[in-house]
Amino acid sequence: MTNLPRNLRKLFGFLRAISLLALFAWPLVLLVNPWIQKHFVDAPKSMHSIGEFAFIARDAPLILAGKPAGSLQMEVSMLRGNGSINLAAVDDRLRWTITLYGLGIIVVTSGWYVLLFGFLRRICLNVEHGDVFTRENVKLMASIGWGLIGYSLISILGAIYFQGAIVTYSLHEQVQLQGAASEWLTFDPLAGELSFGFGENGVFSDILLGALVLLLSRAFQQGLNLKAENDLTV
Amino acid sequence: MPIRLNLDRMMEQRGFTLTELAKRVDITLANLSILKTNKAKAVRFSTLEALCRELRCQPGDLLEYEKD
Repeated sequence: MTNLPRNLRKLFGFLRAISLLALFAWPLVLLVNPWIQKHFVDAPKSMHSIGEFAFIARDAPLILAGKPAGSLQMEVSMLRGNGSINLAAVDDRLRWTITLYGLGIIVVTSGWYVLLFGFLRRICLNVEHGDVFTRENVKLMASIGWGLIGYSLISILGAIYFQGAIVTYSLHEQVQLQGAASEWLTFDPLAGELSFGFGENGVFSDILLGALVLLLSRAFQQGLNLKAENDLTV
Repeated sequence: MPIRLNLDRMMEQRGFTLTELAKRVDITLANLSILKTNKAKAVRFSTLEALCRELRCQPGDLLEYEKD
């Protein structure tokens, strides 16, 4: 029969090593290697809408069948969808903001995964030795639960900042649409649906997972109490 | 713990050592030591029965309630 705790311990140990490597290697490569910078930072970015975008056209010249046909007045709000803009070519300040935000994501994410896989590896080691209901395992599970919740909240705040800073700056200062006079309304990060996350499923599922793991750690605490009583029953 | 197990008194009266009694009652020396030093949180009826049988006494001779 396969030894599941041992195999999982080895897997988590491997993943932890990879995360540790990413934590140090990626920032170095990103800052030093111009090819990576060019393709990572300068490449067009797709951004999901967070908040309310609107488009206003005032006195936009309208051409029909090659002839001037007056002007267009239009206001469209509550836009949803994806936009693709190449921002880095515009100015250095924006470019560095994107780079630093990307670095921030890498450091926070890699650092979290180093901790997470380290905790999981330690739990597997304890279970492998037959120590299931121990104080150490309870603490490790609680750390995983709180860590998941904390990481999710940091992701949300980071995403709000990023879209608020980058998009507002870009759209107000830099973007022009050819062929029409246009304005972008003030970007309000709280007005729309929050749909941004590091993963495809969004960050709220991680908060729920963190809460479940915390609940599990409380159950293990109960198990520890029962074991302590049983150990002293002769 | 208000409930005390007066094992050492009965063992002295019957002339048992810890090792002998542990063997007769069929529990480990470590567990018997836990009983003797009153560190136990609970005692099974089967253990109490075996102790009374080997020490030729009643449960009341072994157990004592001492208010804190």
